Amino acid sequence: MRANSFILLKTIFLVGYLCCRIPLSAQSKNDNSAEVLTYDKKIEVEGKNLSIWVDVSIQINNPDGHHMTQVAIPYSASNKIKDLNASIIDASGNEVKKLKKRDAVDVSSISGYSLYEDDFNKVFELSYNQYPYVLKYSYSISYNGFLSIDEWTPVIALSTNTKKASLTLTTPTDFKLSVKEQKINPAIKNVESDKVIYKWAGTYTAESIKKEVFAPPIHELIPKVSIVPLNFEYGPSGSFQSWQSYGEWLNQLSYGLHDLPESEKQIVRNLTKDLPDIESKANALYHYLQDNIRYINVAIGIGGMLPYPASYVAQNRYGDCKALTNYMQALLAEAGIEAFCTDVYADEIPIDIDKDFPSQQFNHVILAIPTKTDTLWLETTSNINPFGYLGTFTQNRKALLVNSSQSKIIQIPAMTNVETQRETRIYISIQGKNEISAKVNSTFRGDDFETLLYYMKNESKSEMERFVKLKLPYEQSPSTIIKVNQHTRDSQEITVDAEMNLSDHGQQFGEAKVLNLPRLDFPKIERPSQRKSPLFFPYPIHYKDEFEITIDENIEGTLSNGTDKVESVFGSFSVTSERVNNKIILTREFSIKSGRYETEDYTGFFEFISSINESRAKTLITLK
Amino acid sequence: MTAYFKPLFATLLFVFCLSLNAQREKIKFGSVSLSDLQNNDFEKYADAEAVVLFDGGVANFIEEEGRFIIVFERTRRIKILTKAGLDLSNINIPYYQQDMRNTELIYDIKATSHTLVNGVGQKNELNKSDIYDEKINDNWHQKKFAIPGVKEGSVIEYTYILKSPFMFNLPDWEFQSKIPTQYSEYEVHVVPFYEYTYLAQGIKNFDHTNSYMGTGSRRFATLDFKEMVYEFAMKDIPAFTDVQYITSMNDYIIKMDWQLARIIRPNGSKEEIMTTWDQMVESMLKSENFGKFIKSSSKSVEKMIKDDHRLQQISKLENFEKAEALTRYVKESYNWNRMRSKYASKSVKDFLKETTGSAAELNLFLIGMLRAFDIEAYPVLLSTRDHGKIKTDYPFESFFNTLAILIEVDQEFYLTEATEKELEFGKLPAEYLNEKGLIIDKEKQGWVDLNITLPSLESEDMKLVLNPSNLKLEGKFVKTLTDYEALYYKRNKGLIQKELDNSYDLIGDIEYSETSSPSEPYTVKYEASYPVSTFEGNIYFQPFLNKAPTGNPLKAEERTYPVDFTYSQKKQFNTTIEIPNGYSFTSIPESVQFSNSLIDFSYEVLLDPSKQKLIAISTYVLKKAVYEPKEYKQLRSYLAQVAEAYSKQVTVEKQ
Repeated sequence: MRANSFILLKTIFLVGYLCCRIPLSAQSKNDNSAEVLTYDKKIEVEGKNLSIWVDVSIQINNPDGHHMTQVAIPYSASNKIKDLNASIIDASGNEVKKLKKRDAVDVSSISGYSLYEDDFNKVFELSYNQYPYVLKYSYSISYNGFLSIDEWTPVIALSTNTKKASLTLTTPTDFKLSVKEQKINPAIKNVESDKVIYKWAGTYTAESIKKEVFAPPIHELIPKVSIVPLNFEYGPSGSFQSWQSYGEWLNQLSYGLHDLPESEKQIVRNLTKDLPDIESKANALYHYLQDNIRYINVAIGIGGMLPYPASYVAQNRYGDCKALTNYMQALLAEAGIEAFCTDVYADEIPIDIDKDFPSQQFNHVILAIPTKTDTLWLETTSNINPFGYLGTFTQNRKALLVNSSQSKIIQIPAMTNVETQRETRIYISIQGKNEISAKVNSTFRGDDFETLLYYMKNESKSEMERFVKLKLPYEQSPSTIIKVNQHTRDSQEITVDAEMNLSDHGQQFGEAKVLNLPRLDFPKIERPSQRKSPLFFPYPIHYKDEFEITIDENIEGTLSNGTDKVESVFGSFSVTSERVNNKIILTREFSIKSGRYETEDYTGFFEFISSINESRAKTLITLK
Repeated sequence: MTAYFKPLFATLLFVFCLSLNAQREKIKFGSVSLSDLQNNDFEKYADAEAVVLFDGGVANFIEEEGRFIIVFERTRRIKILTKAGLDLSNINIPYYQQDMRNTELIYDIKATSHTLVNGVGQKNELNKSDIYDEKINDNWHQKKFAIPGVKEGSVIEYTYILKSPFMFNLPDWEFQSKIPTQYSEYEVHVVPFYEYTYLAQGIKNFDHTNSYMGTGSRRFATLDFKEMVYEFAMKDIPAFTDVQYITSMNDYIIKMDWQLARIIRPNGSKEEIMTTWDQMVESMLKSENFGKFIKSSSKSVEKMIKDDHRLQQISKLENFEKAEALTRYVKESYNWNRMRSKYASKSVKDFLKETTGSAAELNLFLIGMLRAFDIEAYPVLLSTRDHGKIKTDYPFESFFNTLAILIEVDQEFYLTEATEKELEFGKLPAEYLNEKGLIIDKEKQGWVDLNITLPSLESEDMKLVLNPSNLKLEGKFVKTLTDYEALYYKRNKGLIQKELDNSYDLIGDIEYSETSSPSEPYTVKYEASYPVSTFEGNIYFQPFLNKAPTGNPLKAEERTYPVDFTYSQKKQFNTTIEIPNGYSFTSIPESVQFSNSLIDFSYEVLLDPSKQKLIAISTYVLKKAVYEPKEYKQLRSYLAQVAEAYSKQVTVEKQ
């Protein structure tokens, strides 16, 4: 049974990831240098076989469209590309060139996070020097056993229009599907004797999609059809009838993989025997995992969904996310702790899981351990993550808790604005107009904490300091980093101490010098007239800066706009201050809530940020 | 009768005849002892994630199927110090495949980790089934594996054998890597039939060298011979740390490059592979894929002219215009496949049919075309910046990776090339500006200076009026760019928007000049307003708003590598600012001017006789593309003066 499912399971990985192969890195500006004239895909389901035919024609209008003549078709070792044809048609309709078989090259396709995958690309280039011309290509591919039928979009490249695209799916009449349609017209369905034919048609305008800040992932914005079989035979047979049925299938897949060697069991017992509760035992085992096992992705054969057994991890001391999660689950089980695999779409900006469309929508797995009062979450692929820390990679989203017939979609808790707050204390000492120094103490949390932790553990000291300086206030002024400290390995914050010379800061107006507050660490945002995408803040943004400014007696210092407040549905901004003898104590707080908003709401957001910028510009300290 | 060959290794470029006192540190794969694991004396590597304890290579020449092949065995041992160092146990070994007979092979991969667990050394060996083969492209593959059982404190080691039929490619040896190395050695056993030279980069002294005749006699064809063994070792080599603004890591890392110099056949005949530049030039000119490709291109072009109207028109032009038009013709008609190369890899016929080619094919074809139109054109061999510098004392073909063209028209010389459509005739892409190129021609052979003396220009012209009611300067802006600066802005259309986003309010649209020819300057025009500062009723602004730099780009106090700006740069700023009646200029920045071998700077601020208009003009020129480390401090202090001058404000007062 196992050996048999080897080859089958590999395709899951490929099919599941097909949608990610759209070259999102392409420039988002549409320059009309090329246009996809037609893109037709036909799929036929016959028993366990899935056959696909693809036919594309692209018009190249000028030399800038040349990049569209470089074609890469993904496939895996067990599903070869067949009948690849490509040709060039010139402006008068003559075929002037044809692809030679030896000019299509096979190259490995290995994602950056993997050591090895059994996936390849068939790559070729076919171009011409008289414009316009049309590149036509077609190929077919078939799968034996499948978990997904297609994740189809009319988009070939983000920067290129698609004039006309279609997907035709033919199945036996008794074949049941589950379909999700996004920003595309519903299928036209026809029954012909013993077959059902579904047809989707779509177009794509490159201007409609743009990469923007605080926007949902592009995959939520493009037209797309996702189709899965309701019942499938893929290794064990399973069903997408419900999340329960899918969860049961997942459990069957990993059945019997908790085969820890006796030596490992002994280690578990030694580590946990004197510890009082689930939390402390899980903590000890998590540290053991972090210190002894590393994450390596090898997606070969069973690269899809079947984890490597615990014995493999124990032997090699490495594994991919499924293998490490399975291994950790085995360690916990040995200590008498029940833990559940939780499938999730991991990304700082996640694609939202459609609860009503049971299917393989995930790219990662973490562990959930129910405790008396709460749930503990373990990210097993990181050897630096604090114990129980979810982080921006997996927080605040739907996920599938895999627990056989009790499997269900759950909501992973969101990070609060306390957990993401960056708190900075800035002690400024003004001895003269051009003699200003500062001591800064900043606590990094949330996203900044995660990045800084990565730099602390994986990069050189100078690289880490470069990152820290960018994140501290007055990033242009000369500074010395005194200390960067994570209190314990499980602390979810890092404190930074620095000293700065601010003598060059501020603007000179004749004899007077004016100091403004440092800028907020916030990206530039486009004007409402240019904005295309809706708004999405996956987690709260929260800065609290406390200034204590001591001014020498010989200098007259005055503060303007020391109190202000800007509020909106998106968040708030405030400045409060008081004067104690020769000291100005000022607190500035800025926060944005997590949430999703429509494109129409963007104007309000833009105005909110503009008001904050205006207020900030008015808060000034004048020295005379 | 047996001839006895004297082992040949005469042309060593650096000769270390004496064996130094230091002993060679022999290690054997797998011989990690408990005391090695217990050793925690790595304090001097506080910043390193791992240390190479030993790195050893042995190259041998073995007879196989009647020919010699190179067998290169490498053994590496690394101590992992931190979690960040764990990645060093993921190993990639690239190798080259040409065709069935000519292919490199990697075999006998062994890898082990040694880890101290409760005071006991634990060994973990790599399973053969966990070695993967990745196909990078048609010619390059790599073996990949992750060494099992590795954690902080582990010692890992791996060994493999590379078998290569490519005698011209005796493996080079890098003594240095991105982590510190305690000991590194290379041992080369040469046979008398192949003679190599080597170039030692960044090496003042080896810690150990030795050469001796191998024991035992070998036999090849009918000849008995003895091999010659050379040993090179270095100790305590620091990590190579990346620095910004350098050409290529390849130019600075401590290493030995090997080059085949001569083949001595068993019958005594010699084939010189490379002894002088002359011979290299000659062999390239004779090559099917170089000199003959040019000739064949010329013939094809002569046929093409018959039914190509555009070429017929071009043939009527004067020589200079002809050269320019032909260059444009090739750039517009043929696509560059992004491959850099010295030799063509397909026939002229295929190139013309496919309309796509490498840098070699495009340039060699253009040379052929120019010659067909009676214009003198010569190939220029060069090395792009990322490929490293050329050492003119050593005739190694491998120093070069691409081609340009030298054209002579009416006793004037022009450098050009055929891949970059956006650059005008006579300009090379910025990555080509790497000191020197070699002219490939029997008579003209010699070096040509690639560095551009004429700087790329960026100019900002502003005509502004102060509006005191909304505290803004309003008016017209024109940005003019030439050469590389123009190319940069053309390629990044969003750049201007980004520059303005901060503080400018656009009035209307940005107007980009529609230049058909890359030789015209590129202009960007727009109308916008810019906020001024106000303090106690007075108005303050810098004459060039925020366009001129007010900070020093060179932050570090010292520098040991050159500062490389790629090409020299000239910036110009011109403003006129009018203020309404009832306002007056109460203070304006001082004029500053200095000129020296590094920088030219002039900044002049004047008031119009009406006193209602301010005129500011400034030019600054970074005269060199590359500044040497000894010039750094000076350069930095000049740039500080420039920044200071630009940061002075104008004061406007209401009367």
